[in-house]
Amino acid sequence: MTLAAPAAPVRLTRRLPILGVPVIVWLSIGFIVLTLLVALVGEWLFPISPVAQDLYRISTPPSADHWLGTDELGRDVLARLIAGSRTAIIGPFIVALIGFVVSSLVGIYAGYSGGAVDNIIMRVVDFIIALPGLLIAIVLVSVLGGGYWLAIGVLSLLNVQGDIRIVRGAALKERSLTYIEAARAVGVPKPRIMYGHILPNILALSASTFAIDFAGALVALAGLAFLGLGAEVGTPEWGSMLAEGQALLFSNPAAALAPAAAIILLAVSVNLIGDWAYDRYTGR
Amino acid sequence: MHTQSIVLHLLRRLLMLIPLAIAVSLVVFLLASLIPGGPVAALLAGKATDTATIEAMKARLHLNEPLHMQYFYWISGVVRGDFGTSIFTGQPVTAAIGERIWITLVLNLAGVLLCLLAGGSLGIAAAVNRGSLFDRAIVAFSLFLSSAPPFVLAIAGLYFLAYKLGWFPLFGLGRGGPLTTAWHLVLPAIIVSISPLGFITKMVRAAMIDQLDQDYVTFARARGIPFRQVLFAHAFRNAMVPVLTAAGLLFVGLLTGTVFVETVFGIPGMGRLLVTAVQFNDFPVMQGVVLFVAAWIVLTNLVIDLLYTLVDPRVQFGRASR
Repeated sequence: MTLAAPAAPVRLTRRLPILGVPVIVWLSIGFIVLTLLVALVGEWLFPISPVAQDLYRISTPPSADHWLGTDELGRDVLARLIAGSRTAIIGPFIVALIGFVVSSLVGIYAGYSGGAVDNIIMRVVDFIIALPGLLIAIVLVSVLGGGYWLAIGVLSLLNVQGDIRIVRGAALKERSLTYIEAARAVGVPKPRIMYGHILPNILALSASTFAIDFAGALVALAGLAFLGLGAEVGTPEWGSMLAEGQALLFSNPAAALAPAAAIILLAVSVNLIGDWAYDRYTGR
Repeated sequence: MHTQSIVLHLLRRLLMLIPLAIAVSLVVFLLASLIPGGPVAALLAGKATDTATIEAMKARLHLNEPLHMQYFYWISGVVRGDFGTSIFTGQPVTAAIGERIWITLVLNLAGVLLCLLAGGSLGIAAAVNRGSLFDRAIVAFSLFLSSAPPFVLAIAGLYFLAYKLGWFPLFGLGRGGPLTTAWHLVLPAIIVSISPLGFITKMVRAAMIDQLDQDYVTFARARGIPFRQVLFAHAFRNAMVPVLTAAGLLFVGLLTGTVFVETVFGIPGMGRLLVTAVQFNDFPVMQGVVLFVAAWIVLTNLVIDLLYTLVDPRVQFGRASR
């Protein structure tokens, strides 16, 4: 073995950029756009209803009529997959958006101002970190009666602390940079420094945490649905499809493997974009 | 002097745990009152009863007293190791947890070890061959793994490895000696270790690259020390600090995966206990499990914090350790 040459940091996303964006990121964007399109218009274009039962074909493997086969109630798996894309996107988007907005407001304020407010905010954040996140989510969602929107709310609440921590750290770093010092010297008001100067400069970082939050929430929401919490029974949801499909593994594996693949593909795509945004932020 | 500062540091950390413990226990206590209709509704579980019974029940659970007194009764029980009894099985919560915590502990420890071994090797291999196709493949692979949810991996593992190939048992812990039980835990432990594998690989890779770029590595090589020795005795030792943090996060983070893996494979551990308790609104069990796990997390963080000093003597006790 020889010592590796001190080459420039090579990463996955460096090959063949188009318009300065690596191909693999384009592919990820492509898949997300496709999922969005499917979520928006898929249900109208696809001829089979996600709730219609084909009682002559129950738990059948893929066929010409049902491209991904049917589930234990004779419902078309592909139709449910398409209908589930909407739930799969909306929830994580809201969780990530709340994370972005709150961490931008609170995190930048804590990092820039420091002092007692920062101290209090960080103690609260430390406290939430000590809680077993998903277990608390499982207990809270079930105790409060379940439901998709409740799951989104609980996840947002538990998710926000990580973002605050990251954004606060970044704001703390920006604060000591010359451009902020200069802005302060010429008398730019504090809110404008925080949200007009620091925020745009750490936007790439926020974009990457947004992506990571989205992927995490997608997996967590599907996980809650998998345990029978979150989405209401009967709603086409990828996590619950997976839970129901688990029993069909031996008759129609596509009923479990298709939603599994959908979850992984969407999460990988979003994570790839997040990674790329993070590399842009660190400037390597 | 060094030992003295370690003891002082430990004491300070333990003191800091007190407000945290109180806050966590308050949240856990309040979980029961969040149940629609309160604890009594959960206890009755839909059965109709007359007012006299309900009143007797309330009196027994101190529900007619103010909330802070209820908390006091509850917490004094908890301190004595009494978490109440399960609504569903009637078993004392401490006994229910005591039966299951070992399974989850073994599953988690095996998962952490597997993950550190595999992630460590992959990360070091990627760092040494930085920039090569091999490195790219590992980075891509770890990104893929960190995006795959544990329940998806569990089902995929169950279907392909246990059912299609028949390499592993399908369900439960089997009936037999400890060897049978251990054998039934192999595939679940592998699955548990996979989700965080990408994260660990990434951490180790970054930490190793960081160290390999240092002057002391070049100097050691220039002195003619074999690369293998430089890699493991020098660079890896210094890369341990971030890896140790990761290992701590891992020990805590794996608990999430354990819930799903235990559910899919039908393993009677803490995760299954919680999921079952949740289905029956069994709040004493829920409170017990969450409190145990919270203690687990806090203690893990404490141990990791102390381990830092063994790995890196430069870590200052007190202010600079954060």
